[in-house]
Amino acid sequence: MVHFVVALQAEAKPLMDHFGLRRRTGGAFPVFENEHVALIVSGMGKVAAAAATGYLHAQTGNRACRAWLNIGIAGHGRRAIGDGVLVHKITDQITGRSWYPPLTFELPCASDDLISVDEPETKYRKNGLYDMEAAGFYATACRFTTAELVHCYKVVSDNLASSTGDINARNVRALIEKRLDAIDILTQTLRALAARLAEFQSDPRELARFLKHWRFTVSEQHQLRRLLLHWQARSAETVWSDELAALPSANKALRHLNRELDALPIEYSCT
Amino acid sequence: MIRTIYIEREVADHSRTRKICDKFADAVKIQCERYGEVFNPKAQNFRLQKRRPALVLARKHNGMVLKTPEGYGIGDNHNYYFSHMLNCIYDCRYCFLQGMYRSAHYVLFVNYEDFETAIVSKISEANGETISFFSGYDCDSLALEPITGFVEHVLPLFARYRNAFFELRTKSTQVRSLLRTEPLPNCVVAFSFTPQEISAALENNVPPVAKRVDTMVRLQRQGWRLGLRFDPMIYHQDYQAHYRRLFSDLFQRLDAERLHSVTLGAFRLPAPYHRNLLRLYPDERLFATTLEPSNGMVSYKAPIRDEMIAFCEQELQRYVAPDICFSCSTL
Repeated sequence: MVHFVVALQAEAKPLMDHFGLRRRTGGAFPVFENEHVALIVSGMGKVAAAAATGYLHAQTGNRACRAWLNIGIAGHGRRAIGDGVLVHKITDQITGRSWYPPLTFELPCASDDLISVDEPETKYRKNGLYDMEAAGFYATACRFTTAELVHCYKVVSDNLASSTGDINARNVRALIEKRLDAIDILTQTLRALAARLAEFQSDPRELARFLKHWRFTVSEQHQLRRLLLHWQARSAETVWSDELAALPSANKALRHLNRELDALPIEYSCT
Repeated sequence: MIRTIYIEREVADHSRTRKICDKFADAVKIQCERYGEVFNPKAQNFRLQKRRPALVLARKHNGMVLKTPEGYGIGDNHNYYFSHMLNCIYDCRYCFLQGMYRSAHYVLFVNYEDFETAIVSKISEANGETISFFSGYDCDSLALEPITGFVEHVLPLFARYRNAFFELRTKSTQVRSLLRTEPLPNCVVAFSFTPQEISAALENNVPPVAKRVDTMVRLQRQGWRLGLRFDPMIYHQDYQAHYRRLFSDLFQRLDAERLHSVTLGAFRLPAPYHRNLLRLYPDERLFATTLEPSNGMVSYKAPIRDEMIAFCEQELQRYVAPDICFSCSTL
């Protein structure tokens, strides 16, 4: 699943339409979702973005293997209005702290630095994007998952030639709408990465069967999980047998599993 | 190959930085204050990053030359290592770097001159006694040589100090800079091997055994002293047949009498790195065996370890003199 955090309703609308998201009822922030995407409208500013990110994480089950994408408009001194840009460095203007989202995939667009400010920036003193949410979003989302799955995508809404005063809900919607292709690619890429991570963090195949058959202490559950992962890494066959199923206790099942693993040859061959 | 380069502000104008950046004209260049901002954050996944690692160009401020861990070395009293790079372009599943670092990015320290100063200072402290320097502990010594030029830069130093022994450790075939240089009697190019079956399964992106042997033959013909490193040795059902064949293949092509040294060591990892690797690669067969903790390390059970080392030592005696064979043990 991919989580979108956007500041404005006008940024959210094209995404809701494109992904077919439905509103969840109630709650501190408006949340929209389908099977693969959840979107939250945070309101403006770093604090709001951080709070909304935390809220969405809790509302969607506190899962670690989820991707996060902050989508929104941003200013840039030199880039053209409508440019879509992936952020490769985020700096909080107030604290001076920087983050570097790892670029582990083919980029669907240009990438650039971004400075998160507390007040709208109109002078564009540094060469980079200016927004008001990314720093709050990124620092918070990285508490929930690995940085490779957390990114910010911005569409240039203002520059030296066209000031922030010209921005209105209608043109914000149009700006995001024009970049839905790139957002689609990013969403798919991040979803695939998240799925890959989930795959190598998932429970071993036969864990549920064991847990249903015997009563394991917490420590025994850890042991069971480890042994089943070992089995899975070394054999495509099931470890389950009539002999195993007939054992009277979890402890005896673990000992059986250990014995079976010891007897399994470790093989490598040139293929 | 490199699509993203992070550059510390302090080395942004360094001639090596500019030269390397020119080689990757299309790479995204991102400025950072210190490489640790990119390399050290907690929320990173080595396995995901290894899909597309970035290059980080930085300056090393201290700890340029360090004492080797216990049991690492080949007989000398003064043993040091240095790392002009962190991380490796290869992806060997048994490698401790995956458990040690949070990031898979390659960090290259471009201030080679400071490494030289630190090496010379250790040589002076040794008062004429033989002192050994090992490169290739936190990276492969030669794999990125066409980009870094580090070895080419540092060889003339060892040409001046003949009491300083220098070991390059590698799985690479990138030896052009060595072939362009007059061989140094105090420099050893040590190649690491596992049997081809293990290499194919566990050493991703590493040149095949046969190509590395070809490279060794070229170096030996030119007069370079060579070492063989069977460390880590990987236990498996057919290990005896596989290691026997590997030794036979190597010694059919190499002049065993001109070898500098051969070292052996069973697969082992510091316990915390092993824990990290289990989390990163729960599906990996190498870790799905009964490994035992001992003195802060994790390795095969002692009988397996001893059997493997004894077998390989005995096999090697068919080809090389026992006085150039060393077993690495930190357990």
